Amino acid sequence: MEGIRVSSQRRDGFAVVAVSGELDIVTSRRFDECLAEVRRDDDHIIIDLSAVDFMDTGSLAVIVGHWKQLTAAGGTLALAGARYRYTKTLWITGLADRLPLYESVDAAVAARRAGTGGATAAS
Amino acid sequence: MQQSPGRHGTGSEIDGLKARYGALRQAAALPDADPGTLLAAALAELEAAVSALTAGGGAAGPGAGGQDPSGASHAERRLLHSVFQQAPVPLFLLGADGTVRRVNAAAGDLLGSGTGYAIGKAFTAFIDLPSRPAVTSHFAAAARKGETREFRCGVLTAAGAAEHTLAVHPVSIQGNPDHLVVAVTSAGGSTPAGGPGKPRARQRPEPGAEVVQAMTRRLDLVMAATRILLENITYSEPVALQRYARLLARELAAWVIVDVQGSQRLRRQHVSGPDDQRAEKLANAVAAVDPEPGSGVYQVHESGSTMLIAHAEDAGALGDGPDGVPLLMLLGATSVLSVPLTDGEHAYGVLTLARWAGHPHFEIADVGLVEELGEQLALAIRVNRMFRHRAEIADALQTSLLPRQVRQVPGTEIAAAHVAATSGTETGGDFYDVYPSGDGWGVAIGDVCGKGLDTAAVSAAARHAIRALAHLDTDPAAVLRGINDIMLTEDFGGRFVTADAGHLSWRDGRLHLSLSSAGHPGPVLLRPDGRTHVLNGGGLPLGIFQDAEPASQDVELEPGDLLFLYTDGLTSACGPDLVQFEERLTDELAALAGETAAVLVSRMRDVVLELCAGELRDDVTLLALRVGQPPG
Repeated sequence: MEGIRVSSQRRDGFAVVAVSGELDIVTSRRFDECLAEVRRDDDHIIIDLSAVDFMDTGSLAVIVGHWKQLTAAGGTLALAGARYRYTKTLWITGLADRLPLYESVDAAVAARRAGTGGATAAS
Repeated sequence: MQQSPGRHGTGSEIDGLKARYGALRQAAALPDADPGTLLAAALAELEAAVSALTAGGGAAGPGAGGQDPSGASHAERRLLHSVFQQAPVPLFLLGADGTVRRVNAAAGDLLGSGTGYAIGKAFTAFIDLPSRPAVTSHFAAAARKGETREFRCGVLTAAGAAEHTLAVHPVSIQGNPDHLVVAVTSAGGSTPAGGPGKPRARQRPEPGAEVVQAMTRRLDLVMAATRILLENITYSEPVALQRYARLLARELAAWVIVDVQGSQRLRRQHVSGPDDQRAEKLANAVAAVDPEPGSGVYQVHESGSTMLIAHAEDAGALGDGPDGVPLLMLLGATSVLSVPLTDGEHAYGVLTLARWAGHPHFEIADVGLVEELGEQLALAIRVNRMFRHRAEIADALQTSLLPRQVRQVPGTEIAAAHVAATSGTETGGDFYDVYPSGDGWGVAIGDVCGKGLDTAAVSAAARHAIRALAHLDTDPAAVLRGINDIMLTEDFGGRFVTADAGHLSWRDGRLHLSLSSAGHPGPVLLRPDGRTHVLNGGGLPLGIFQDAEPASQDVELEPGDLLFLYTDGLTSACGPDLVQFEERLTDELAALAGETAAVLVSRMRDVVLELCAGELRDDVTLLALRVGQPPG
């Protein structure tokens, strides 16, 4: 059982939440708590998944939950840097086509600032 | 949130202090009491008293984690905190980037700034300028090589720059050497190590390498002990106790005895001794005899206070062992320390350590550590019992949700298996079902993703809704659309359901499968000659989007073909090499071509359990349907 590390920093009006390690049944709760904490101060969140080595559907449900709540309240949530091999769940569920997904945090910030919200999925 | 650092915490601290004060007095009365050690211990207690009185709660952790709600984790942090804080050597805990994360009392004294000042600053800020580059490279080398490095450098102390020897030791948590402990092992020059007017433990000889080693060993021991308890949360209580006892027997005493309160009396739960055959036989013999009422361990258990017998003159202090021989004599032990296993509310038993003659006897300094270990063990027992109970409920729930026996479709053989995750204790959301649908049969497999206490209920609701909808409409896509609509009317948070649903009907000697998928992995079609086709999954999970349209396809199945459906717990299962089962799925299936559905499911189950060494982090559900000859 490997842990996860979650850190957040502000960048260009976004809270960038970087996660590393394995998002699974054990760690998804902490991930959820961290996102909830970030959301107390920010409505525009980018989750940097580039260092995530595993993601199960439960963790994906955590992301979906926050995404639903944020978008309902006029906020945004984007995913950045997800690697297919390690976060295949995004693709198997088809959510890669529906959640805002970007190659990198840079790309997410740029796209968001240019106002291209929505599901501009990086392939 | 349940732990408030207010009056309650302070109250129990004071109780602890009182008890240890009593123990100190006792020890002082011993014939060969070492006044130096006692004074040091007394001063440490005094310091603990001061911090207990002034406590408004410790500084919050620097991570974004927030409060961990589990009591065991709280106790672990307190224990680590106090061992670290009270170490008689200036200690700094640094993050990977060299930032000071924690400073103990002695280090605060050394800097003359209090402990809060240094936290968050680069450690090199406290190093004399000319020494800084060298210190940085020593740190990097220590972290890289994972070894301790010792070097001299100028430290900016309360009394100005002074030469000190620093020992830097990488600390790994879960295998990542991401912290460094820096100990200031010796003061040099004319500068005193402590700040002015801070007598604390300075009467002691200058802390030398042995002290640092001893402290490091203690920290290691506490961390190892904590790790055993945290890692064993999914194992049974006896296993956790046994591992804990073995660790202590290796590190702290020749013999470790754990007695646990049974329904009527204390049971001798576990005895660990030296690692040889004779000792093992002896341990087994000793473990077979429960402690006698009235003996020392009973007194510890009933009074909740520690018993320290530095030099046991009465061999009967621990009562008799097998054959009526006094236990201490049997073990060859002369120094005994017994602490209650209590979490402050409930007494679970007694932890007893015994040392041989010729080894250092137990002293007051050991009492605090072992009492903390006992409390930690008690908390682990409590948490384990609570979780075991909940896990049993969850298992029962899960079993009740899945069909006890899979309904058989004419002309086919169907087998299914469900293996619950070993990580976590919440019920997984996997479900599967085979049910009549119009002119044919329906088959469904799905996964409620996301957590919540009622995951089992959502899973049951989904399964029954599928059954009901399939009764009205044979089109599996319509069934899944219906589930999506139902789920959208309720707020399930982020939870969603992925599912494959199929409709089966015999037509002209072939079994026609109409398959729809909602964000679920596509089934695998295994031909009798070993060819495999991974059918498209597709679609979107149910319960998120209004416009989620299931992906549908039609497949003609011939006699001998086998359709294999599964949940992603199977494909994401992985072994120690982190290679996921997904990469082997079709190979493993191909190797089982021609087998019955029952054999295939049972073999696949074995293969995945072997791969992950029994440690599943998600539920695994498998369903195989093998096509036979058309009925009638």
